[in-house]
Amino acid sequence: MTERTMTGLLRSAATLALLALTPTLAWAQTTPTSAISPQLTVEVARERIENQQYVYASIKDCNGPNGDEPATKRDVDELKTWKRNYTFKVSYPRNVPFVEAWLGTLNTDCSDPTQRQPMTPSTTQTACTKLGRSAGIRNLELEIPSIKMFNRDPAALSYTCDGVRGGTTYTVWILALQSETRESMASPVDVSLGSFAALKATFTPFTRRPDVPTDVVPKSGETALRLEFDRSSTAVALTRYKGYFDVGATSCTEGSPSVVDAGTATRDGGMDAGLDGGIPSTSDAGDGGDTGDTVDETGDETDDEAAGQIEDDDETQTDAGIMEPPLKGIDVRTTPTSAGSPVTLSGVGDLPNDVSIPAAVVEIDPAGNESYLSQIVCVKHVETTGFWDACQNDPNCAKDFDDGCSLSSAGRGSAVGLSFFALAVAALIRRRRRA
Amino acid sequence: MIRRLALVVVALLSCTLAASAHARAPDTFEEDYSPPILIDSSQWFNFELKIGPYIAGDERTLKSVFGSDRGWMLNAEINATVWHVPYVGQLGVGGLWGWAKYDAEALSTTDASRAGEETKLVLYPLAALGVLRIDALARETVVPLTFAGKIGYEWVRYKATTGDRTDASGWNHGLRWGAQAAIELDFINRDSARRLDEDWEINHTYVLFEYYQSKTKGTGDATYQFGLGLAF
Repeated sequence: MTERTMTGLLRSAATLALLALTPTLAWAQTTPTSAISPQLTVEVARERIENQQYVYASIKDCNGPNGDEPATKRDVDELKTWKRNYTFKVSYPRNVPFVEAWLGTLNTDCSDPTQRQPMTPSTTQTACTKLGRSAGIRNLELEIPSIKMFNRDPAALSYTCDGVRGGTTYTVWILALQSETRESMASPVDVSLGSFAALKATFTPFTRRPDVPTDVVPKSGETALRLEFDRSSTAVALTRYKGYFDVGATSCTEGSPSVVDAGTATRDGGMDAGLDGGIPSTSDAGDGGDTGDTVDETGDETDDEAAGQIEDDDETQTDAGIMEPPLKGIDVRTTPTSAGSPVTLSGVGDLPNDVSIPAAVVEIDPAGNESYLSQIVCVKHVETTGFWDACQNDPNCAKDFDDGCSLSSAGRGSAVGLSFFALAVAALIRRRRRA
Repeated sequence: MIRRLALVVVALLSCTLAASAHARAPDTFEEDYSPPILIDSSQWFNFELKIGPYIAGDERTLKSVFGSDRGWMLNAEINATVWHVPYVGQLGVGGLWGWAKYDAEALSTTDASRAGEETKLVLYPLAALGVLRIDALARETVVPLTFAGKIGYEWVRYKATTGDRTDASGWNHGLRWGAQAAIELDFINRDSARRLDEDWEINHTYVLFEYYQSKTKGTGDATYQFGLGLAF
C-alpha cells in the first residue's frame, strides 16, 4: 500500500468520524441548561477570596466566645447570637436582579434547585442552606454567620461543630438569579426556569485543637536556637508551627508542661522575635477576643517584626481559655514543608552564653487553632567554631585560602572565559545547522 | 544399451537442472534487495554528568570539622567539537559546572562538644577545558572503548557558613586536568542506540570513569568520578 493510499484512507476515516460526531456536538450546544448562562457572571471582587479558595473555620468560629471544646448546647445557643462574618464582595452585571448565597457540603451542587428546598417546622433543611439574598446591589458584601454552617438542624440538635479536624468541607455558592425565588416546599425555587452563574468558596472547619508535636530536640547555637520535632498525627498539609523561647529565663527545667494553652503565652522581657522562614501566619496566638479576622490561607496578614530581630514589645496576649501557668517568652513561627522541619529563633547574639532557657513548640492548624505546648526543652546560646575558624587555626589550610583571588576579579575572569565558551558553542551550533 | 542409459542419464540431469533453475527464480527479489545505508547524524557535542568523592584542600582540617563527609562532588560538563581528527577522534573545548557540600554540627568553644547549629562549606567549581577525545577504537573496531584527555583552568567559588553567619566566601583558581575512559553502551542494544540517534540525534551513550586533579589552592583534590555521557 503506497503512502498516498494510506493518507487518503486516513483522511476519509477522519471525515467519517467528524460526520458521526456532528449531531452530538449540535445537541450539546443547543441543550437548554437550566443552569448556566454564559453571559451571566459573578465575580468575587476581593483578590484574596477567589473561586474554590479555602477559608478555614476555627474553634472560635465553632464555639463562640467560650473557647471550650467540644461544642456544648450553651455554645450553640450563644453561637446563634454570635456571628462570624466572612466577607465577599461580589460584582455582577446590571441584568442580574438577584444574588443569593447558599451553603452546602463539598460535593453538593447548590445550583440544583432541588438541593435548595428550605427548612420548615416539619422538615429539615435539604442539602443547601440559604445564607442570604441581595437585590439591586451591584457590589455585595456578604456576611455568613457561623451558625448557618454548624447548626443546620436545630430540631434534631445535631451539631456538626463537635470537634472536627478538617473532616467536613462546606462550599458557599453565590448564585446570580434572573428571577425571584420563593422559599416554599409547595413551590420550589423557580430558578430552574431562569439562569444563573455560580462561584464557589470553600470552608473547611477545624474545630478541635491539633495534637501536640512530639520528640522536641533542642539545638543550641551561636547565631540561632532551633527546635527540631516530629509533627503530630493530626498535622495536615498547611499545618504550621510556632516556637516559644523564654529568653529572659535564667534557668531551665525540662519536662512536660501541665496543660498549657500557648495562647496564654506572654511576650516577656520586652523582647519579641518575628516570623522565621518568611511564611506569615494567619492569626495571632491568643487573640480570642477578635472575632472579625478573615482567615486567609494566602497569609497576607504579616507579622510586623522582621525575622531574627529582637525589639521591645510589652504586648501581653490573653485568651478566653484560662489554662495553667504560661510559658513566658518570644514566639517564632514557621511553615515546615516536611516532617521535622525546625523552628528557628534567629538573632540571639545578645543572649548570655551558656545559659539554658526553656523552649517549646506548638502546632497550628490551617484554621489558626494552636495545640497545647509540647514538652519543654532547654536550649542555650553557645559560642561555636565552624570550618572557617578551624581553617584559620591551621596554617596549611589558611595559607591556601589566602591566595584566593577576590570575588570581583575572579568574577570578571570567569565571565570572560564563559563568554568565549558560549561563543564557541554558538558558532558550532550554527555550523552544524548549515551542515 | 549403453547409449540408451546415457540418454536416460542426460534426461534426468536435464530435469534436475531445470527443477533447480525453477527453484532459484523467487530469490531474484532478495538478491536485488540491499540493506539501507545507515547514516549516523553528525556528532558535535558531548554532555557528561559525573559524581565522585572530593576532599577539598587541607584534608586534616576538613576531616576535623566534617568527619567522614566526602563531599560528593557533582559535575555537569559539556564539550563542543572544534575539529574532527581523522582516525583519531575529536578535539574540542568544554565547560564544567560543579557542586559539593560539606556540613556538620559546629563545635562548642567551651567543651568542644557538637552544638546544634551547622557549619558548612559549599563549593561551586567552574572550569574551561580543552578536550581531546579518542574514539577510533570504538569507530573502527568492535571494542567499544573511548578515551579522553582534558586540561584547562578552574575557578572554585567557596562559601563557609556557621549557623546564620557567613564566615567567608570567595574564589580560588588553578589548573585542572583529567583523563577519562569510557565504555559505549551501544552494543547492549544496537537497535535502540540507532533509534536514539534517529529520534534524538544522540549518537552514543557511555559510562565513564574519570581521574582528575584540581590544583586550585585551598579547594583542590586529586580524585575520581563515575558518570554517564551522551555524544550528540
